[in-house]
Amino acid sequence: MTREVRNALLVFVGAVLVLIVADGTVLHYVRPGMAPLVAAAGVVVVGLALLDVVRDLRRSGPEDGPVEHDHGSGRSAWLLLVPVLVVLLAAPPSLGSDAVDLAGSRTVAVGRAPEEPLPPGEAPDVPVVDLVARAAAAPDGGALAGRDVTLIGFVVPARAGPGVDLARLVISCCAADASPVRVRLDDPRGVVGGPGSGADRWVAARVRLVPGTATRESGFVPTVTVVDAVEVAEPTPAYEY
Amino acid sequence: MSDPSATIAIMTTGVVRRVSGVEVLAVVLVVALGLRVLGVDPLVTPQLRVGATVFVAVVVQALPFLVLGVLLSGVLTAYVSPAALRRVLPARTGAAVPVAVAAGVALPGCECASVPVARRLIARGVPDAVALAFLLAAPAVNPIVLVATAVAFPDAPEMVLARFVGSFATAAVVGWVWSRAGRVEWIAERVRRVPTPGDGPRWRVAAATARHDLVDAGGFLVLGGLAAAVLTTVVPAAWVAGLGEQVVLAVLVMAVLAVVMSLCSEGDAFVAASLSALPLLPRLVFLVVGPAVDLKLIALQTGTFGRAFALRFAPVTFVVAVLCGVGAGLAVGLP
Repeated sequence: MTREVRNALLVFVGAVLVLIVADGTVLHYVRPGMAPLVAAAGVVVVGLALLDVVRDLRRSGPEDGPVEHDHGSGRSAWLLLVPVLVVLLAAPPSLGSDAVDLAGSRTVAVGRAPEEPLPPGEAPDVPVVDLVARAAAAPDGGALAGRDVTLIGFVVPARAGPGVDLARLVISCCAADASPVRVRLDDPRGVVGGPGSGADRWVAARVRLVPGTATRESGFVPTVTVVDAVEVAEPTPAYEY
Repeated sequence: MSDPSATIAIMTTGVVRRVSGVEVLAVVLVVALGLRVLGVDPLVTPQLRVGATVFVAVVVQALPFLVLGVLLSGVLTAYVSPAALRRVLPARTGAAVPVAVAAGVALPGCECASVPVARRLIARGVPDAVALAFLLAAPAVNPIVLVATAVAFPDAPEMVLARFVGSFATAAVVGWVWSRAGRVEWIAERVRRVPTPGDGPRWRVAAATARHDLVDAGGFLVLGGLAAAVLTTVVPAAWVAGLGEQVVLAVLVMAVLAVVMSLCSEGDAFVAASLSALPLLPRLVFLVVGPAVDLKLIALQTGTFGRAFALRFAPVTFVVAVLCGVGAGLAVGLP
């Protein structure tokens, strides 16, 4: 690979990094906290390439002194084009129910129950991971006892038996470490409906915890009774942290 | 190193014409944009959708750290003289290894960042074994990683100590083994080539080094990300199920899983915590092996230090990391 091609490639790579931060798709892949770092890395990569380009433009001809033995790079550098193309062509979406299926029985670790009380209001929004941790920490339901809360997640087939679960993916670093977290929906009136075919179906469900259901036997998947549910668009970011 | 684009020869009116890299680049991008405009969605199966997201995630997550690493390596090359490094490190390699490991503790970095830095340390005359000990220590035992581990295992604080001991020992033991058994010629000759001094201002040398290391390592990082994405989507769920009782098998499976999944060391503790069906010991091995040797790292090291190096270093590190992980776990008294 010649230096010219290498520099062009670096500009593409850096530009794509900046681009995905600008249009928000970076949240499909990493935590929000990483976004500024990704953008900064993109700027640095473009800058490194442009420094070399500017130098080429200034220099009238190639005979102008020795060039730091810089013959460009080996053919492996072409691989940098692969993520650029994948992002441009496919713009891979946030992980959803496909990843829940692939994760098998793995569920997110519980035990980090939040100390603070639930947010005020009639049915406050609570992250799914939050509800699961609280439910596992307090067999009697703790702060959740007798309270309605609103969960946002996508609908997946139940882990065991008929019915559906509400699931969300939790990431700690990037989408490669996504772990599913889920609650079992006790929904006798069927207001939630089935899982989406093709794309995921996201719902905001007003639910009440059934105390004592998040046990080791249930894999720390609590059961909640559905009071009401409405279909919503996929939130941004689609993950919980 | 021949360029694939330059070897593609096209016969036009009987004359062999070479296609330049720039032309290949332009054609590829035009085709890609064309397909995008036509609305072609290549992600047709669940595995492809998940795999593509995981692949891009691994690369996007790693690139900022790789960029940081190459900037450091550029600065190291341009501004730190070999004599200054010699003054800081003990003269005996055996004594310098633990110093390098301790330096790694203080320098929080992703494994991708430490590879180019280790390369330039070697170029600056630091003994191979010392640079490699640093390479293993920096991502594995820094404060950020230890705090993340403590957060992921709130009920088992001994995991933090066990991880620290296991990773520290891995880096030191591999360093000592390499100082005894390692051969100079296993590391690609280009690693030791020093950029000619007097090549313009220092910042330009730094930028050239950074650019060079970035492209060298970046392609291989992509390769590692691809392998990790493919294997992560095809393998694990079935592997881990039903391992709870067989600790020895669980240790081995988790060690292999750590290599396959190529997680960053700041996040792997949460994945280990999520595998709650397993005892703590195999999960500790997962945390000790992961930052020391995984597909992404093997690919990066192949690109940076050469194939002969990676073929020897990866298996040695894997075995040492598994043993040190088990040893640290037993010493701390993990169930």
